[in-house]
Amino acid sequence: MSVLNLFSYKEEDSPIHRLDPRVKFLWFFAFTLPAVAWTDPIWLTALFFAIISVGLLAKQSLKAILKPLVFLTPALVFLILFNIFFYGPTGLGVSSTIQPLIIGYIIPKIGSFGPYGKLTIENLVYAVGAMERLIIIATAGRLLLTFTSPTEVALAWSKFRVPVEITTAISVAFGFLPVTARQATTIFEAQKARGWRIKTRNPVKALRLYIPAIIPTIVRSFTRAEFLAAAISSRGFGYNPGKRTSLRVIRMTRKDYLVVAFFIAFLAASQVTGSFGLNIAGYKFTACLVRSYLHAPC
Amino acid sequence: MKGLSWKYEGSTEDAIQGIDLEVAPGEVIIITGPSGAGKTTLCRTTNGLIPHFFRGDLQGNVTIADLDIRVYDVPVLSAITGLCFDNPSNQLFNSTVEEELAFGPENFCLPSTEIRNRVNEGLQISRLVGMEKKSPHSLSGGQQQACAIAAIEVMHPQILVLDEPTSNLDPIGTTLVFERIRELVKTEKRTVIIVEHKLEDVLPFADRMIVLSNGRIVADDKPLNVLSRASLIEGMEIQVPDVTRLAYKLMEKGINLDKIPVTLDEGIEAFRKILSHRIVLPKTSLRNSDKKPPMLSDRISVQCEGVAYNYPDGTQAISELNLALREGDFVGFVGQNGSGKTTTAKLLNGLYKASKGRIKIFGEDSSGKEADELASIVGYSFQNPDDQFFARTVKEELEFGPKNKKLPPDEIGRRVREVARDLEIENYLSHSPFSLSQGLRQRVAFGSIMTLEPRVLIVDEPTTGQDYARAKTVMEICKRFNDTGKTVIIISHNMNLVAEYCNLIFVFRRGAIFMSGSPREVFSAPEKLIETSLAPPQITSLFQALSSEFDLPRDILDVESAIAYLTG
Repeated sequence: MSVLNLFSYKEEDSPIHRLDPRVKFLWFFAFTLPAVAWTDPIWLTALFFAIISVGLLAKQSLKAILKPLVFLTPALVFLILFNIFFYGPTGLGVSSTIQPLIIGYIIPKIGSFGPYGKLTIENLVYAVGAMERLIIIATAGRLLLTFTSPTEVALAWSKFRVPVEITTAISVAFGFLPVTARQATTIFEAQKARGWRIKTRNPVKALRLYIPAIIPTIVRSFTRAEFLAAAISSRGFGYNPGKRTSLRVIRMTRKDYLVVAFFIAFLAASQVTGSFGLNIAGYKFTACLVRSYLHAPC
Repeated sequence: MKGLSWKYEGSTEDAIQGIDLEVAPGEVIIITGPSGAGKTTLCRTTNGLIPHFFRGDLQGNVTIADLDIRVYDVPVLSAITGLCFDNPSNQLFNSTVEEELAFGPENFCLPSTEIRNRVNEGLQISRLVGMEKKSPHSLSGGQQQACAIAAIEVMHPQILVLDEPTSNLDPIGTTLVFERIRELVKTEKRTVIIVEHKLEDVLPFADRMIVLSNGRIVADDKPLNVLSRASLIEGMEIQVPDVTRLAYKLMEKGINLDKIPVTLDEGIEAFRKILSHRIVLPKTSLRNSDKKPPMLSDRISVQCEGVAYNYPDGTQAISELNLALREGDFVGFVGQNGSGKTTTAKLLNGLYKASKGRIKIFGEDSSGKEADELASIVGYSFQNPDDQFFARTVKEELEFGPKNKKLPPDEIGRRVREVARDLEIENYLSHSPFSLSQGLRQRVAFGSIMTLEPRVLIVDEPTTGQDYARAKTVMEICKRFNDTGKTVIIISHNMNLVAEYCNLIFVFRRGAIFMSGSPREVFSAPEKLIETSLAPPQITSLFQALSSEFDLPRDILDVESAIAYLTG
């Protein structure tokens, strides 16, 4: 359940919750696209703080915002190692006359062995930036789901002319998540009560051993889906899909338009400052600061 | 309905056949009958799910308010017939209660102000005012079903069809739902069709009662006329209210009552009359005694000492649990949903680990043992057999447990043969478990625990969603197991069955044992029991109500003892 809770909507009365759902979607793009354009850790840190501020404004605790990042640890470790070893920022920044500043090797030279894993200031700064980009996109995406209810998602999408069948399917899928999770737990427990246990580290073997849990899960999902579809039809779904109305009517207020204007301006500025324009938010910004501190040319 | 028959695709037999039925506006009809009689199929024709949603062969005609179900699809017919299903969790699919109630009116393209009015109306009907922003799945079972009924009711259908609306509910939930239905019948004068086994709750407001068997209508009359057909009722194993059954049994012995009672109050009135006129003379020498399971020993099988359990989110589920069960005990865990019965059972078989205290199974501390290790000592049969089936054949399902225990093939073969014989499923060993009827599936699920040859057996809600006959079958299997000296624990809401089979009852409330004792001890303290919103069997309540006036015993637990007591 804990993983499911990460992506569930949290009802609050906050200025962010009160925004039109379309504006919330725009917020997501306005705050994640800069993370694509920018590569500099300092700029990205500022962006991350901005996202956290929105989370706090939406009455989420700092702990609730940051704690789920633990789940990203494996991806972050992979990202930082991959960038250090295999993906230098070649061609992006430092002019050809100035070489990357080597600060050491991961595996030092021992006799005729090594050295391996060249560590440069540029690589390190770039890798930290790459890590931050992932953190920013994940945090913003998760926050979007905590302050946008599945119904609002459906409403926003229907305004973008997505067919009602699809928007309802999304809304129902979210509403039904807790039931699905509970179902899976029951199936695992029912099999454990028959002496079932996975005791292998071999992933192929483990997959085969999981069959007693996978098959009932699939079968139960199908039968449940049938009941659910019957229940949805029995409530008149499909009566006149084109003219289906809604309890909540979303309308953009003046405040929404102001926020939209701000987000669009921010988005435009971010793209100009990023690698698509002035390129001042590139990794070189921090790299130069570090090099100056170390009295190296920049 | 004229000459209505329906055969599901892939089935060789008609689910319902030759149904002729006319329902007048404003009528309240109860449909009952054994499982598999075709009750749900009949309901599905009332809003067009049959023939538009389910595939099969339809014969005859059905018109709902002059609309032919062959011509009009489900969304159109659902504007006339509101159909509510048995399991609330399968029909609530929105994120909040408010959205759940709005879903129907939104489909019928009502303006948002009208939808808001309907939502408010639904909140009133379901008594969920203040909970509109909650997830429907976070509500109690009774509240969920009340929400599901309200979600149908806000569509303002002319006909309301309720298919076993309380079969998955605890006693509080059942009362809540029936109160809502009674209000709708009384205030709205709506046509209502209710499929229900708990006749005691619905008979008082029904105009007609229909009994279905093998897809045919075998009785269709005023409720008391149907109930008076003793051979029919007994043949169908319909659970007739205790006071009604007692009245008919007395009539067979030549003692006539002015009016056949159905509810407890009617029963008190009717029996007060015959007792005060000395029409029957109770045998005051007859006294009840506690029944004792045949193989009950003094050896402790399960013991809990100061056990507490907290859910992963920190909520306390069990606090300070102390109990000791003997080998050969037939135990009933009763209480409302969320009172801690199932959590206790899962602590006993190792699925949950106690946060505090000690659990001893046959004298051995079970704290270090996982569920899979304890499985062959404490067997746990889950409520729904479909939660565990995965194999191609029944035989493989039965072999699964012993194979997990790495037993030799000879031993596995012996156990499968013996269990299949005991449960009378030998002829189905090569069948797919998915192709069997619900009753057989339950037996196979049961058998797959029995092949582990546990010394303690826990059966979770064997009576929920079952008709009386099937519930009794499960109880009889448990009894046979108990007769061999094993400890059996059943978790149930059916007080009649608990009173009939158990020798020891634990009443749970708010994560602790509130009271315990023999059925006589527990049920003869109704003033204490009521604090847990449970009630003794109806016959016990009848005798208790009249005990001081006529010196009747307070511990009569079944109709047979009542008759023996009253007539000798």
